[in-house]
Amino acid sequence: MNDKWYLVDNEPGLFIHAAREAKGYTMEEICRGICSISTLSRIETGERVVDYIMIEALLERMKISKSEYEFVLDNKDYDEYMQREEIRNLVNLKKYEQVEQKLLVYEKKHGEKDLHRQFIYLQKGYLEIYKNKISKDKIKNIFHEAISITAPEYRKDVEQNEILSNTELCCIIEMIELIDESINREKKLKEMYEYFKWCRKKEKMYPIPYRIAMKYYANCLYENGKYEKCINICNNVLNELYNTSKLENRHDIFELRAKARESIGFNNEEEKKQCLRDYLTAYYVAEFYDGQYEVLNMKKYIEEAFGWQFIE
Amino acid sequence: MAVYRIGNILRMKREALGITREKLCEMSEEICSPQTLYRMENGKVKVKKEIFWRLMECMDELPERNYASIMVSDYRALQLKTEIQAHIFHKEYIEAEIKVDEIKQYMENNYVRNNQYLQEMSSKLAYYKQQIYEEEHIENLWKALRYTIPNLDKINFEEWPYNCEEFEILIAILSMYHTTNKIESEEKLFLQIKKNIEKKYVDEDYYVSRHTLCLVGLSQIMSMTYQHEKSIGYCNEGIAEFKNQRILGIIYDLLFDLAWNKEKMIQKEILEKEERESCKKLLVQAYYMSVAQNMEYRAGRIKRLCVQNYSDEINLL
Repeated sequence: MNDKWYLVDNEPGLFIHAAREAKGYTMEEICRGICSISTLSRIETGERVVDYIMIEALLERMKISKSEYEFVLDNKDYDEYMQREEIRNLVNLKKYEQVEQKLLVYEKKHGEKDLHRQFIYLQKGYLEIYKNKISKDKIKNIFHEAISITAPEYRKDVEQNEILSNTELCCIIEMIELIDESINREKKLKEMYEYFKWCRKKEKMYPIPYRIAMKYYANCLYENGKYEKCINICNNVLNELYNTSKLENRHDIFELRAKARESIGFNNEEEKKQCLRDYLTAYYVAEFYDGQYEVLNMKKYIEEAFGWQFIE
Repeated sequence: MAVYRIGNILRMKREALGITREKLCEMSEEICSPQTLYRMENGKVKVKKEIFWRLMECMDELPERNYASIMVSDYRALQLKTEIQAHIFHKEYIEAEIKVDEIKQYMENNYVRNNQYLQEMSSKLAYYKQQIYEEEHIENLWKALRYTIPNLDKINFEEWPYNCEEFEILIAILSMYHTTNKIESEEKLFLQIKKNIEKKYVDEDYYVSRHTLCLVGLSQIMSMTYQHEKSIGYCNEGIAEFKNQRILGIIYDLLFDLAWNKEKMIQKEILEKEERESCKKLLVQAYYMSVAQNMEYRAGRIKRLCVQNYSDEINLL
């Protein structure tokens, strides 16, 4: 490489190289299961041009998100990326019929290639959770299949210092969430919590899947009657969500915190007010985004338990 | 930041400069034919990097061959840039200033992109620390923009494919127009930027955040100039977009503006009195949306207004 090279030269390879050296990752750590070391080294020097899906995976291993770079992508590459974004978006919007259709089209075109296949399996897993027609074990297998593509050595335990991409983390989180037994699930989610704390220490920020994992963790703690701890985790997730303008169903967290607060009981009026405030925040956000029919039960509950009168 | 579609960048830049495909190919000493250029712009063929940069050079793109925000020799500089942004967000201007000084050592100062960034930052900090007046700051920002768009007066504003830094500068200019009450300029620029964004040359996240920002800005301008119906139009468009994309962000501003404008129209007896109930609901929504985004300051403001206008009809916790 030249003595005088410049970063952000719209050369994703140079960007990867600089970030990797600065953050102290080895080549092996970031390319394991994604591409060979010799390929990575050719990517880093700019000799080899690869699709954005691979660039993204490599950067995610280093916990670098899109907010940190600007790339000009080739038309086809960009269009494929937009197709993936569309599918992810539709999953978030719970428009699963459309997801199914779009995934089929995507699979026909790209189903042969590893990273694309991993993307497809992950979304398929989400789809099956929603459809709820096959057994939990079968759904777990879909996620396992997905993660095995880039991390074949994965043994259902997160090692403290493992370098994982967001897609890989999402697979692991969903597999844990599918564990039936809630004590066991709590234990695994706690391990995830520790893992994310380690990430935070190393990279000064939480990777995106932190939010979903901690939502599951808070839920699980509530289920197991650990209300104080549940509130704690809810606070952590909300603090993280306050940094983003995306909704990410944060009303679920407000509702959960309200429920946990209520379960502990109120020592004074102020505590009761805090709890009701959480309920109302959850209610109004959910009503706005999901429609009033989704929140009828919550509404009835708030009216009965708190004697609250809603403005119609 | 963002990812861009190469064909759109080529086409928009060419159209912003008002040159035909034939002319551009001629300027590039026939590096490709107009037919090939057409196919590249529309994504029918792969764009070779050398051809892309040759064409961009012909269209005044900078010699450093770069579409990104700054040119640095160390990754640390990019981290610093993020940190500076965070400091400014938290109003920690002294810390920001120290880091702006630090970032300079990683920058070659003969690169215009770097100069643009430094000019933007030093003017922002000077303004925030009340060392310069609004007018001077606005002038500095336009100057900064000219670093990378030298023919600013000649280009078609709506067509230019702005990168993130250029966009940041435009947003800063808009906010200064707002502060100094230059409503006409603000409206004009907002409308141009809105059209520009709608060309969809960047990824969805970027598109949505910028587009909603324009809708919020325009709705506020319409409120300020008592064009209530127009404001309501922008509010509704914005609210629908926030909802469809499941974005929370600054939606409370739109809900609030919508209520305020409806209120005014009730006072003018253009809207029925019954609409008042829907205003109350909107304000309650605005309040809890701002709580969900941890904007307690904004929530407090909404609450005070509710007490003022509706006394005990609305009970906000």
